[in-house]
Amino acid sequence: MTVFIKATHASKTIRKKPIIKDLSLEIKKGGIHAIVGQRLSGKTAVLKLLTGLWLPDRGEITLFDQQGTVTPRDQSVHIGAFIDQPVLYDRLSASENLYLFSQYFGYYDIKSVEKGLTDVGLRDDALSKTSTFSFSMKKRLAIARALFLQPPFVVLDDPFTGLDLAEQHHIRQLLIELNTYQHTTILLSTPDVSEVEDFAHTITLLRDGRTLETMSTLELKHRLSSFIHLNVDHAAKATFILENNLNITDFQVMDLQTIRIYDTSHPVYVIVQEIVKGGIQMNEVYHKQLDLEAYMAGTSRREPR
Amino acid sequence: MGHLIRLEFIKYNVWNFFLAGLLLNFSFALILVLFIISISPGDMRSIYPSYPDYPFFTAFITTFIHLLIIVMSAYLQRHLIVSEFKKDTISVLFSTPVPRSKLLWAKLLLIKALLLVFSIGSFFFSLGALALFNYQLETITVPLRESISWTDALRIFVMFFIVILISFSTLFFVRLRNGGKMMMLYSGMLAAILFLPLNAPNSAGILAHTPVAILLFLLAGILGIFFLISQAKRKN
Repeated sequence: MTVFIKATHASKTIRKKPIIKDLSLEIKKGGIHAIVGQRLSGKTAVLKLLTGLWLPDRGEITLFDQQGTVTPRDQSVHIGAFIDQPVLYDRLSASENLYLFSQYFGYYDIKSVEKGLTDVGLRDDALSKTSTFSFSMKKRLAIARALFLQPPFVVLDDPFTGLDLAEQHHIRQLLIELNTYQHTTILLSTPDVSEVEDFAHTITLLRDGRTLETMSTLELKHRLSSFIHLNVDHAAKATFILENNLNITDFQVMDLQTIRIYDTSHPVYVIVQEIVKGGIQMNEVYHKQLDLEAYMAGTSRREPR
Repeated sequence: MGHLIRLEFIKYNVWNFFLAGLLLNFSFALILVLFIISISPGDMRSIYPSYPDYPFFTAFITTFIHLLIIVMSAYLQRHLIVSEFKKDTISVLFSTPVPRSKLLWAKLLLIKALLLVFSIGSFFFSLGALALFNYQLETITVPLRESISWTDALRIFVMFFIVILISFSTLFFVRLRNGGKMMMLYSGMLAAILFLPLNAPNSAGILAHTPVAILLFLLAGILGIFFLISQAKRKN
């Protein structure tokens, strides 16, 4: 897959507060990409930068189209976005909201409005004023607004929070269909990796306005599955043995005595045997399951890959 | 641009504005009638020798419309511009391919057009109501046609246009936290300072009759427009 949008060391400061410190990522054309981060990690700001709603103070964000490279703001006609809160015109009905939005794109087709509302389960509420809508209905309408003009690039900010399980499933299926049949490039943000792990192709971890790692969903699942925790008297020497004697490179040095080995292809006793043979004192060893926050905390202490 | 202005019409219930304008006009017509009935011509002639005549009431009507233009402009700006920033619907508009400056110009032109229609309409309505009332009472002896020429009317309409531009100086408050409230407060103060004889009875003159003051406030209004447009082009 070719690169569709690329951010290179982009940063953004709002009211003297650095919101995005270092944004570097690539989103492949035709893929589903998720940005995962906790609250206040800067997910919404990243999406605002990638859609051109904000311009970076430093670094650059480039969108690759047939004419060459452009900025996202120049290509807003090809971007369907729902970012931050589901803001709507309250005195207008659901269909009027979509009608109004399509008019700004210089395009109107009653069928696409109907289809957009049907896709998110709001067909029966098409003529109801959005001031009477619940949060979930407003959110689904905002998602419909991002999708109904069938843009090649869709950006959704935390689309599942506030929806019930059935609605979440429905939106997930809708996104999968869009990606499969229309090859729409989809970018999502979420605080919960479990919301996207079943259908996102790649995941970028974001923490404190910095992109930590971008990897395939499979790889992240693998990293979160389990690791071997080692506590030795000399971590640097132990890593030398891991790399040279056992050919293990997928590990992380937590401090002077602690190492986490994500490559679990070697049995624990083999690892222990080799380290002890190297004259290193082994204090502690065990298998551990890691949650995403703990993993990200560990990742942020080392250099981004 | 016409297309964008039409979309603004869809978003904002303009009929409410016209209804408010109509109610204001009826109220003002009533004030005019009360003015004529309750004030004795003898009292007024000590400061305005030819009272009652149409030029006196024309000046009275236009001053009142000037005051209304400034306050209603702030009201419209609050509903059409500030509320979009406050509710963040502006970010939805900014995500469309329409240039940000065009989106804001459409709002400003709509406000300008509405105020122009309102002010000219109010002028004819009030003058018409006065003429109708005078037809019954015959208080004013010199006919309307002989009192006010079309050139005078044109001069009055140009002044309406200038006052509308002046009213845009409230745009400096758009992005502030309580921008809407501050706009309303500022517009009230601006209207009072420019069009009310604050130094009466020592001086019945108003600041709006000083060309330098008008030019300065006009410059502030134009700068307000460009301030808003430049804000929209910012990086965030």
